[in-house]
Amino acid sequence: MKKWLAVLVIFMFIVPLLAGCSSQKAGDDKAAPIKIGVVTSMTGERALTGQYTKNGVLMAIEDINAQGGINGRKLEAVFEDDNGNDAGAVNAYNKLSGSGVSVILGPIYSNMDLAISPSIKKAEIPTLVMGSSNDLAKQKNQWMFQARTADAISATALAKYAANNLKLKKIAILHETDNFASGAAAVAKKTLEDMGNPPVLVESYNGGDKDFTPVLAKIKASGADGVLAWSQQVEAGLIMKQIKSLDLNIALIGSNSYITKIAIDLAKENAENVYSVADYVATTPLAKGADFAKRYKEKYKIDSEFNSAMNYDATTLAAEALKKAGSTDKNAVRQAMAAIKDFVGVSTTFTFDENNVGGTSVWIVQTKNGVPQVIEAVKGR
Amino acid sequence: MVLQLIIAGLAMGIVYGLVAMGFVLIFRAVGVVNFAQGEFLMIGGFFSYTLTAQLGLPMGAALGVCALIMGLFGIFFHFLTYWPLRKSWDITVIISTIGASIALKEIATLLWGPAPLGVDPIVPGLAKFSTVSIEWQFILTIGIAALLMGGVFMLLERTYLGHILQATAQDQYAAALIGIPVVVATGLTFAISALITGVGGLLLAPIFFVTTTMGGITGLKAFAAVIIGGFGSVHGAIIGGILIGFVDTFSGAYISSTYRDAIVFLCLILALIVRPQGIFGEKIAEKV
Repeated sequence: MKKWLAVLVIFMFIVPLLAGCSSQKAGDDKAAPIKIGVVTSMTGERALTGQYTKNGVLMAIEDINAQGGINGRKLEAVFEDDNGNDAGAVNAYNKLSGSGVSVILGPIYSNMDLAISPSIKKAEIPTLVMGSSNDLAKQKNQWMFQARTADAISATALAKYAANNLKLKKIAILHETDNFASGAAAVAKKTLEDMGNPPVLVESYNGGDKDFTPVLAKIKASGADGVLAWSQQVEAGLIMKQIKSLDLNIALIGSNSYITKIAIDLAKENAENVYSVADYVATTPLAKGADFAKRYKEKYKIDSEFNSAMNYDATTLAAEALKKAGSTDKNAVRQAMAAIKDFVGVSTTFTFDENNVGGTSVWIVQTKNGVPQVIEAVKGR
Repeated sequence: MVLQLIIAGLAMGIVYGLVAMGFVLIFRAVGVVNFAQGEFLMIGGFFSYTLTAQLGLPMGAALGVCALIMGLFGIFFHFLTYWPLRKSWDITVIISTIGASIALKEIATLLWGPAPLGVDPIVPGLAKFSTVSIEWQFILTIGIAALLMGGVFMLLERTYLGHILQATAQDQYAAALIGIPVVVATGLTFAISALITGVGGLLLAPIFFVTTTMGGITGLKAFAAVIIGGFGSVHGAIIGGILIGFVDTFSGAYISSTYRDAIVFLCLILALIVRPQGIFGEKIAEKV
């Protein structure tokens, strides 16, 4: 019995050593897969985002590998859970950065991206984040790339559309207190003021709030003829529903969250006619986007949506940089990424500027029969 | 606008009151705060989704079935988190309920998935009084919750069973000496506590959707209601809940929607300074 135990213990020590040796070799092996890390929410209240993220990344990797991979090497994803909060994102990022990945994809939430920015600087791994906050560019972090159209473009587009196209005169602004929403709302407020049509009311609320009756009643009392709103997805669903239950029949023009599948599924018929600015919708007029939407639906049996599209684009951007760099050398990949110009994705066209901001345009959309339809494209730069 | 806020505040307040009552019942029976009380609310919300959207029961039947399941769930919870630990320190039981709170959230994610779920209201549509418009669900919530509160109150004060529960709550040892089966009494208390909180979740589900984290802040505000009302007092919990509901709603409209949570908890601190024993609490020093 004791003998067996001794053998077992020795065996347990030796096996990982052998495994260690082989993986060491694989690291140097030019034929081994290139790994990209993905920080996303797989548990917690944002776990659905993680599912869609996974769908997008895996589909992109399948496409890339089917076309011969990256200079002959296969691409492989490593997912790490951020629990849906900032601290979790930092932990997940740090864990990934030590696991031999060549590129990392960060979360879609600006707050989390700002939280991991110092870790990105320290790890010196080219990282594509998908938050839309203007503050991401202000980090002056040469290793962080914003694979998204910044709020400077989308918030301005939204404010202009409300004032010029919808001819709204008394606009109220409602936003969450997080970095993305406060930043975007400030941009919109400034845009409206510059146009001589300042907002009649600016109100904010905390993430996780459920009852918007007080703030919506205030908007109703202000006599506003339209609301510009920046929210996350669950709150967007709640706001669309509660506006209707207060019998507040004014135009609602919301951030991208307002036309996400999560928000529309929750708000149901209350999402009708809501305007929004979107990075991606399944009904996109872009040929590449439409092809993605079709293949996504065939593969996963559900409609494609924003989270999966943004991650699909980020993964193909990472692959493009790796291909151009010709190696997995960090600096070479970073330089190749920064040089990416006019790269057509499924959501928009990407050109990284001097602050590493990639996205160039957004869509103005309106939900009709539960499906967001594109009204027009707004080119930002 | 004021009438609108009164109805919304009352609906929220009465749900806080229900959860607060759940807190108080368990606290009185076993002397510990159940940190998974908010999760009872969440479980009730998810059950209502399963019963109506997945099994297609009409909302009235779902209400009954949900109450029954929540009662059984309370007994199960009692035997899992409290009964095996009843002879150890209070802190052990408290930590066991904290553990249960985390476990319940993750189990809910596994069973129902991470997406927030929408539930159809009992009576769809809006109620309109001149310029005010409000969901019928709000009004129904007030009615059903008030009935439930009244029912539990009557049960405790007017029935033989209620007296058994009260006696056990006052002194488990003495109750056991006169032949009261303590396990039945505490188990039943957990059942009632889970039932009323779970029904609260069912009532809120159509208004605010069901998410795995819905119990967190609601539980916390209900806990504040318990403290304001007086720890251990059933009617204090109800009054405290309604007060919190009004402060929450009116401060959101008239002071700041950003700091409404902060204002609620500031009121809690003020209440603790001015009247630490709560509105209906008695000043009693623990015997040494």
